[in-house]
Amino acid sequence: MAGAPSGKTYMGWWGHLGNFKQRGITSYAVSPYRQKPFGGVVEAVFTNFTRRVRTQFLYFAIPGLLYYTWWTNNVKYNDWLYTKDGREELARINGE
Amino acid sequence: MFSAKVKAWIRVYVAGGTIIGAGFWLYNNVVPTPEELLEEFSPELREKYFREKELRELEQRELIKIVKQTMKSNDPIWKTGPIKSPWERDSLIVDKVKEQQQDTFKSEREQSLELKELKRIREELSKIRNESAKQTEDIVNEKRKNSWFGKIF
Amino acid sequence: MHYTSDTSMAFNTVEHIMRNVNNGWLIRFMHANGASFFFICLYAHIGKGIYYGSYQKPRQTLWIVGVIIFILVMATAFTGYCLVFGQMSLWGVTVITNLFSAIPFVGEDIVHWLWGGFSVSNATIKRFFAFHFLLPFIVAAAVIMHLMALHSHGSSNPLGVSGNYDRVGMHGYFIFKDLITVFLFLIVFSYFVFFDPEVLNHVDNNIMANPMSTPSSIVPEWYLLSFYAILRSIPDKLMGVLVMFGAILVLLTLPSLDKSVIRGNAFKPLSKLLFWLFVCNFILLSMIGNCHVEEPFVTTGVICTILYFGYFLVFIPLISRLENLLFIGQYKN
Repeated sequence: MAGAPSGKTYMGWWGHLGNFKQRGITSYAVSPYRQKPFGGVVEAVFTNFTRRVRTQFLYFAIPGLLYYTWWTNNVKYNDWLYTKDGREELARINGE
Repeated sequence: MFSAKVKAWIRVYVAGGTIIGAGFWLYNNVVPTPEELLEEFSPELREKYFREKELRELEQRELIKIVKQTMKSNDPIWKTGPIKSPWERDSLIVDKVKEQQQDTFKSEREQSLELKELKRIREELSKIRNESAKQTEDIVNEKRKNSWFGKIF
Repeated sequence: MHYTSDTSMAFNTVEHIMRNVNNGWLIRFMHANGASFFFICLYAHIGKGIYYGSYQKPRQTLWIVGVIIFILVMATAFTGYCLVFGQMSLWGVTVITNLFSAIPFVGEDIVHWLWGGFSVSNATIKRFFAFHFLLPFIVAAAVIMHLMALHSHGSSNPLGVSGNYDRVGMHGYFIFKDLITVFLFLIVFSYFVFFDPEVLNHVDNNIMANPMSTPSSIVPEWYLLSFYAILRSIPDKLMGVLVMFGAILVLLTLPSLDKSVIRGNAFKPLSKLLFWLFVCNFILLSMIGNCHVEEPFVTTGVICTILYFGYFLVFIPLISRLENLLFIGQYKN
């Protein structure tokens, strides 16, 4: 082996067929995010999830309440129409 | 010859065609004939089938009449004459007398031995259930009388 | 398989499946509840598409294929009712016949073709069975088209911005995310299959079909109720059919009528509110479909139908233009 001490090279001095000097060790890893798919899920329920639902809440609560009121009024009115009390109104509506 | 996009779509049609072809093949080869099924049936079911076959055909004829009638009428398509739509809660209100008059095959159906058998079994079962419920209650009362917990509460 | 479409035998084969075939009860309940769950997922998927503007340029093909799949799945579900030959089936057969006979000029010919003769017979039910058997394969083929149409432009995202940079791998991230949904689905699905198999089903379909007797208790098939309500709010035969199919086909107008320059509703308060109003309207329609043909449900049904079409044909074009104005300070067509 000739030459001064240096980083490890492959193939020798003979004809100086050389490679680049070693610079370090390459390593491949699976991202920690991939390894822990459930990472932070429990905290996220209390923070992100709650916040997201809270900020969107009115968008579906208002229509929901509106339609729910409409529906319950429908049922109530229908129930009333088919009582003794509402029979005249029913006849009027049905055009009898 | 083709661009990558066209090739991809050709693959889609080939794959889709294969799936549909497989469907046709399965339909022709997997579906059993009535005779094969009849052999598979349990003896009771086979007997029931033969006993009620004529009734089924009578009902089928009735259905044809109704379908032809409603088809000709100008009512909206969900109005199906004497067949009540299962989506109408109207049909909860049932005129029992009228229904029995309409029920042309009532006698045939009631002759069905199976129903009689079922009724008998049901009665027997409810008798047994009542008895065992009574027994349980007796035991529970006995225990309650004897335990300190039962005495306090 | 252990089913035959022979009319005098169909109901017996169902009994055979439930009692004698190994695990036949399990397969049947999975099949029956599977239909309901298929529709739950389908409606959620369509709702997601409307909310996030998935139909917008350049993914119109994807949306059109999706609507076709929706129609095919509905046809599959409806032909499925007719095969058990319980009470529900008679109604199904009659309604399908009425549906085709509503078509002017060629209606009667189509009916005869559908019947396979001049009366409802074995051939008819056999046809329904063949449709019910083959349509799912056609749906599967259409799903492959759906996937390819998706992959030619990639998925959009909730933010509505271009996702051409900084992508994450399908495997690892998306597979795992979807697996969570799959397991959640299986938990709920198993609950229904094993503990409450009949709750989404028609009790009446367990009664042997008899055209002369009235079913005594009713559990409606929930997933087509809204379209049933739309059908019922039009008193005319042909118009009713047209409007009902229009209610599905009106989805196709979305790509051209939504003028919004920003994809998705994430940053559009008005559209968001409108979307949820539409969802509630749709749910109310389903509930109306479940009611007697009585006042005030009739009137409410008509109003809901108008609002349903209004959402696609009036409100979306108006609101999207208005929001363009608010966002970029100009109308854009």
